[in-house]
Amino acid sequence: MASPELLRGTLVTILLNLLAENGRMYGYEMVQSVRERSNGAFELTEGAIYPALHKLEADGLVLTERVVVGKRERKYYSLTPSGSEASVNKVSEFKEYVQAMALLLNPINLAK
Amino acid sequence: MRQLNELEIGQIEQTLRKNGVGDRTVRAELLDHVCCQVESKLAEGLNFQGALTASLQTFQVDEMKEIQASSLAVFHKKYSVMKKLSFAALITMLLICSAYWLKDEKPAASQPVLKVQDALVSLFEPPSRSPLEGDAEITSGFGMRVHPIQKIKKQHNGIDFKAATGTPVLATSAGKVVKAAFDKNYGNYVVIKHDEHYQSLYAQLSTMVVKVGDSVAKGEKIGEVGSSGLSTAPHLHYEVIKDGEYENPATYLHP
Repeated sequence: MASPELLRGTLVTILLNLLAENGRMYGYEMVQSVRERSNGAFELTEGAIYPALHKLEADGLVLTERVVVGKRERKYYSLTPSGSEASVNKVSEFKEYVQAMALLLNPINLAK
Repeated sequence: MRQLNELEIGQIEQTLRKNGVGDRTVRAELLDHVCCQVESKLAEGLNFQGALTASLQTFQVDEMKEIQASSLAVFHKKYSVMKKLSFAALITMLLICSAYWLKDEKPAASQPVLKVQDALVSLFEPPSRSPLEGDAEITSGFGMRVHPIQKIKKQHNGIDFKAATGTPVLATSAGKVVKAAFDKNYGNYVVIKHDEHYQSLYAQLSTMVVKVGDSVAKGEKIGEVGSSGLSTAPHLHYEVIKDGEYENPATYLHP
């Protein structure tokens, strides 16, 4: 189980990339998808994911549409053009971060 | 999977409403979420009441109210900004947006959408350095050659570096050790998987300092040069394998 602090810092990156990959998703689906794909290591809580999605919506990075599914309404999220751009930026930013962390944590580099 | 009926959905909505999730938009979204949870619990064999109780234990109404509060705050901010915009600006914005939306209808082929998998895979790179420190002499290249011991014409799947026994052998890119074993031809050898496509192999080692499952960084020591297999003198036999095919490692010695 990933620490909540780490997860909070990367939540937006995770959400934007899920949408970049899948096109259109709803909240519950994202929670399930993150749990499955991370082998249960990442457990997004509703209290974290929905405020984050609403913030993305207010910031114009995602569009929403309401679709009637069975007997109830479902709110789907998808990326706007600026959301797609943000997703690319976030991923490369995080990649650089991970690479720098790998350098910092690799004991071989200390020996040099 | 059984879908909830209108009555059951109504009961869940009542529960949310009674507990203070008053905003219609937020409630509709959270209602769908709870319904999904309940349906998955039903599939596990619980009855409706049991499934609802279990769902509300993991997603409590306090959390729902917090979501509602933060959502209203976020959207309220947006609306007050909107009010400040003049009518003309609004129309212009709508025109621009609708142009974007129309464009968005088509599958976004031209858009550089980086997928998660690509991003993670590209954290690892193909082998891109020499497996030995400094300038080691390549004594046998890649391709057809007469095998020095078997004396027959044979494909050489890698390159040989001349080096003294005990010289450190280094991983040529980050990856996971998928093999660390002995073979009568290869001697002690290590295989590192770098990504979906690339693997590198280091043979004739005198000692191996990694085991299967270890993660290694680029430049990390994995063993020492030796002459442990079918070999005439201490050397490192090095291979680069891309999608199961042998590549010429000489082209992978530099970043």
